[in-house]
Amino acid sequence: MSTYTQVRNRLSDSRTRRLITEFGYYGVAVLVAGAFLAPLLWSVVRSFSDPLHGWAPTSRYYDELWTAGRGLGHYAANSLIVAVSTTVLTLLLSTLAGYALARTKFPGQNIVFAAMLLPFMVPYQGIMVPIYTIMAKLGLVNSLVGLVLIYTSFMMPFSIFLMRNSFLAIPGEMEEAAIMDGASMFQMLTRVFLPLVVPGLATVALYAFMYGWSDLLAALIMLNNDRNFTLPLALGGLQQGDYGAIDLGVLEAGAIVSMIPCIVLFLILQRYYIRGIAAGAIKL
Amino acid sequence: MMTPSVLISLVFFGIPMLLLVWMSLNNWPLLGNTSFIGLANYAEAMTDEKFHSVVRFTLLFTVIATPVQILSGYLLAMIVRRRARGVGVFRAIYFLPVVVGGAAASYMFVVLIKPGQGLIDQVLQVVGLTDGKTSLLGNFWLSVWVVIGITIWKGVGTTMVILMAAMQSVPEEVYEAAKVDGAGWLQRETRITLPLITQSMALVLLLTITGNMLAFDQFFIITGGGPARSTVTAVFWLYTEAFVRYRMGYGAALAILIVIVLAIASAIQLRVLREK
Repeated sequence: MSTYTQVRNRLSDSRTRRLITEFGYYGVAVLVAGAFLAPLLWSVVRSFSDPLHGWAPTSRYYDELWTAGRGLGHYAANSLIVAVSTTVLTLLLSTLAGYALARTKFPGQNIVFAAMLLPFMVPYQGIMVPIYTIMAKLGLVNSLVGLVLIYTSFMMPFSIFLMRNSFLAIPGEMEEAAIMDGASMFQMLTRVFLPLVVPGLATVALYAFMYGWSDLLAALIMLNNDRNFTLPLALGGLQQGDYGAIDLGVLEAGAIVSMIPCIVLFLILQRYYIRGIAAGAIKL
Repeated sequence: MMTPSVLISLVFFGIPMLLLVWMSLNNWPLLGNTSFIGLANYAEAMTDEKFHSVVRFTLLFTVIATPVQILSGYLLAMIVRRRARGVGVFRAIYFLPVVVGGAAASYMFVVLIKPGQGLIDQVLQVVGLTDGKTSLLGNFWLSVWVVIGITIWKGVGTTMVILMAAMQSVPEEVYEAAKVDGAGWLQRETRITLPLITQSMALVLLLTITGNMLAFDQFFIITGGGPARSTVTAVFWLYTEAFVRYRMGYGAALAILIVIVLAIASAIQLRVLREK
């Protein structure tokens, strides 16, 4: 056999092998993706079909959602108010704190930073009891304002940590140039720094929104009036049959509807988010 | 600039921590007078057989679930760490369940495991684990494994992303050199990847263990603590004592015990994390 054919055979051999590994790789990846999507897709299909009539297409469950209890819209509005307020407040507080910790000097800075991270060690489940007592004293039990304050405070350590890291990663020259141009501290924050920490802001926003939108435990403890219920509590009502006969289709439709906002937000912020969480996690 | 965040952390963390300790030393009903009872709440917790069984179950769940979660996160990270075309789509799909919300996901699975109806029940029927008529929630181990499966589906995306970021920082040449030396893929993972990502591994371990020891949503919604209260977790029990029976002093004592256990676990792991 000539050297030429030997080389050619080996080449096509390795090409075939690479093709097989590639095929295997994408095959596995697609199978796993199917496993992850199956529960969601099945639920969506199921929520649009009627088991009593040979799985005929129906929008019955979604129609019923709007009349269950005060109607899903009411609870969704509560969740939206809580989630958006938590997000805005968290962004505001953590940006200010992160900026101060990373870009300014003040006495006791390290102690303040360490103190702000202390709640990392104590999960909120551990301090729910006294928080309830304090909120009762402040008259904020059964109020959405109280819930927003609780969520924002729980978001603080993670958000401040992430924002401080984001501000720290910006090179000092940017700052010097801005000072030369006579920018004030506020201008520097909004014009120079903020555009550079967008990935951090996006991550914090996504987490804060998701938390405010989907938390069960704090809402369960703080809210006892159906008028103030957020979505997770309303879904519980559907599961328990508080709003009439238990209908699994309606529960499923409700669960799907309440997933949509977070999924949409994730798809929009996705490219910032994965970068943000990786950066935040690695620098710990 | 620090004032607002310091203030909110003080009101919702500093003061609650002090109050937590004080409440745990009192008999503290929701309404009515509180009375100082010293360490009586702790003494009760020490002899409370129900609390012990709850702690045992929480530890059992953590010990079983954690390795499965970490291993699946690692395998997923191996798939998505490539910087090839289309991988971003897989990354997003595997991560998607993380963002759908714990409560909504749990309610969705309530339907998915309904006997004779739900997808998961039907799959388990084919495997021969259920008969399509009785609820799998009547069986302790089936309930636990189903909840573990749901917990993985819901949370493994975070593990994956953190490990993926760490794996991507390992230089490609190291793998090439190992390949030339004839190292197989398993060897490359255990001898090269793992030692180079210990820090992220420790972080992921910390997050996973903490999350499992504090598990609440899945059990509260899906098993409701059953069968026969055998799947009640520590936080579930704390919630029941403090906010269903309104024994808030006792609840505070239980909370402190849980926090101490967690703090010890995190301290050990943070140490590993810092070592590098």
